[in-house]
Amino acid sequence: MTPREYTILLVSDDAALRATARHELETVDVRRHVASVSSVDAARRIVANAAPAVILLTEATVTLGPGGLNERGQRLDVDVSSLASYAPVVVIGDAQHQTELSGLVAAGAADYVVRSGESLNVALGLVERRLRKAQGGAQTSPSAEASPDTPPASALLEVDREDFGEVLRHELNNPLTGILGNAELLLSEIRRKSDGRLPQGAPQRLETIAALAVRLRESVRRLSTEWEERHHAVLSP
Amino acid sequence: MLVVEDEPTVARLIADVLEDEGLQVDTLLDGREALRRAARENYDLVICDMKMPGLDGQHFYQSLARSRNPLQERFLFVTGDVLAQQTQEFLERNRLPHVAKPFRVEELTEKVYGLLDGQLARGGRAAAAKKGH
Repeated sequence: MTPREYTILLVSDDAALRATARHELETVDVRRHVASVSSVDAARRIVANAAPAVILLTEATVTLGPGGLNERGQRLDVDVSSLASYAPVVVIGDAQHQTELSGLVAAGAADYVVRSGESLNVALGLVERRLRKAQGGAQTSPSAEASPDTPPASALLEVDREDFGEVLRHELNNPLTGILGNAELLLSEIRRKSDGRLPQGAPQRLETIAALAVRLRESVRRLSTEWEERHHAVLSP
Repeated sequence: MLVVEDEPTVARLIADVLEDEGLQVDTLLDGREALRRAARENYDLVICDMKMPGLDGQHFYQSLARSRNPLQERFLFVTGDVLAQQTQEFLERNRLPHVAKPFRVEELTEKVYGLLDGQLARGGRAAAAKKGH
């Protein structure tokens, strides 16, 4: 199956970040078209024709003044939602502006990555995920989710269930793999020695097992709470 | 062996299991770095996680396949997501061997040796054919 060709729009005043992101995105598939501009205004001018599948935007591109307003007196979410009506937007920004996009994030129209040393990698991962969803075509497009014709709650729950299943499997299976594997290796090392003493690496393996078991416990607690909250939020009138 | 797995404890575990078997292992936590490494180094087998931030296992494999890197033929996926329809379809369509997380140590080593034996057999047949046998 040949993947569709598609455009990714980078919106950032940071030329180095644009170059790195372009390189990383094109490394995955050279048939991708990566367009880049240095301002939101420039992005607005080309977005209709470019028809990007995903937009990656750095929040600093939106000039925020006192009170978190841009030069036109608007908040970050106004600028982002103007782009999100064309394609989902992955935003890299400061922690203080994260809540401004919570509505768009909840609607599935945007992702927010708090700026840090790893934020570009995380954002690129989200771009890939958005592209996979767009290619899969199984889900409602994020731009449609953000439109006034919001899908019914049951449809949102289906999307949530799908993502939730992924998260659940990832967060539970990884620590379980570490617990099971380290326990098996430890047992086999003990049997091999057969002198009744613990093998040299045993304390480290036991520490790993204990730490992973604690992580598993926390994940189960957190995911249970999250599931209850989501389920309750969708089913409540 | 090249192990590509974003979860450090799982990456370490797979490396420990294979090193116990006397195999040499490089571990990488990131698909993009793995793609760069695969372009310049040769490995007998790539053991790769499916879900990773940045470049995931599926796109890592597809990038190798597009560039006709022979490593695409020596791939073993480890995944905790075999229940996902997209993952199942991808593995079946490309006939890719895989081990589901959480796995028993023996499952992993059996699969690895099965793939390595298959390579040796293929290599032997190719060498025999070259000699005109």
